[in-house]
Amino acid sequence: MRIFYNVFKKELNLLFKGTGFIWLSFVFSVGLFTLFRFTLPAHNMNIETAISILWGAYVISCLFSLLAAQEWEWEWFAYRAVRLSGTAGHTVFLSKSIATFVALSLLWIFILTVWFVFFGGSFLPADASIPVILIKYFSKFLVVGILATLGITFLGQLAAVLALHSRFRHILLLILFFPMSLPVLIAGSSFCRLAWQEAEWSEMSGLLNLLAAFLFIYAAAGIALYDYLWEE
Amino acid sequence: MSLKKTSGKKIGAKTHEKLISFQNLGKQFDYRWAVRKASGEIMNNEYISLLGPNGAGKTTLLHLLTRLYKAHEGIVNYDGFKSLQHFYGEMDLLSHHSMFYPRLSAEENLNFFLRLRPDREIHENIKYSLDYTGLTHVKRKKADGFSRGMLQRLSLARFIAARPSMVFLDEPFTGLDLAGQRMLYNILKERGIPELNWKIKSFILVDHDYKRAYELSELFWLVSKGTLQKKTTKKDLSYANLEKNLI
Repeated sequence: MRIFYNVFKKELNLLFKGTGFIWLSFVFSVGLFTLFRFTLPAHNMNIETAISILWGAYVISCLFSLLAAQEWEWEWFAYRAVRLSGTAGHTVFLSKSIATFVALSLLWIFILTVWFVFFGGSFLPADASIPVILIKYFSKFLVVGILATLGITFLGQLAAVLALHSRFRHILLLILFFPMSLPVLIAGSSFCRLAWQEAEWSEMSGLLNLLAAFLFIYAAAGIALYDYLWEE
Repeated sequence: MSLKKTSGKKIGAKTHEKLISFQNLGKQFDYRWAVRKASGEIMNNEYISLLGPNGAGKTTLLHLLTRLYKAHEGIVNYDGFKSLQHFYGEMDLLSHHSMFYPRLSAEENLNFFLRLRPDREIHENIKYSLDYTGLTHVKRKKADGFSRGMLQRLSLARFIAARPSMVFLDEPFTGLDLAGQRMLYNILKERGIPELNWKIKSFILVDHDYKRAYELSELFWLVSKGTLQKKTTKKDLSYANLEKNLI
């Protein structure tokens, strides 16, 4: 537990203080929303497109942070010093994943808030009050986003360690991450569309199950394989 | 410089206890064997220099012994340690690669890496090692602002703070200025820092300054083309002959 907390604290320190990657993610998402909100003709914009923009921006923003979280391990071979201490790979996997999850969850809350400000006004009922928006829409988006984030962080850490010893690790990480994150992208955006249409929970629960299965698969794969994969 | 004595390492080792043994070790990269059929033993109170030309496989052998690399063939036994975890707790590798997080400060880096190790008086050890290496005034500076020599001093600070008893040294003098080299030389010559009760039980050193390696070590393993060609002692090999063997 002491080692878990040590790695967790170091990761958060690097994500927020040490590097600008998490802030780059914030700026990138706001930039993307601004671009689409003000340049796309109004008749081309519907709620489905707006939700796709939300998820597209989020997954790309996540990739920035995940790339950063591996970059500082590779840069000066810092991961080797971690390995020399005898720290178990699965402890590193879990603590790095949870730290990234905390950072990306904050990113999701931020992105979601900005998205509601930029796009909410165009699609929400005119008489919707802030409590109604928060309960009926925001909370559902928040829950599915948090669940998706957990899956994305497990996947990202696993993909990063798979790419670790490759000469083309940055490209390999992109190649591994995007196709493997498609289920999250599809399930997350489908859930949000249904939530916007005020669908029943029973209609949406399948998508939540899919996200839960996704995160369990990658969490289990990471715990089982990380020790083996980060050996040289 | 404030000093605090620590309990040191109480491993209960006998004077000539076997610490590590390895048989037929092999490691290949891209179908080329970097090390092949390497066998040997490292005993308590043995201070070894691993000598050979560039590309001979010295670093690979060190990485195999520290378990940084997984061997493609052969085995390593850590006979002198109760468990693998015990070995990890007692050993350290001081390398010419700095192995730090560039965007953390010197102090944050030391704190992080030492907290991965068991039962150390971290705060006191870090303070002492930063004082010892002359880095106290830059402890809050990020590592990516350090010069090559300062980074190596920071590696030395981590090494001193960890106080390992089984030491692997891969060109550890690289980048150090004369004062830094003298600092490390004295630690290795003294086999630790006596005033801290820190005793190095054994080391295995890779250094291209053969004269220095000869002065510091008592055993010499000569490596060529990935195999251990010859093992000899200081008694059996004069410095002049050692040079002849290597140049």
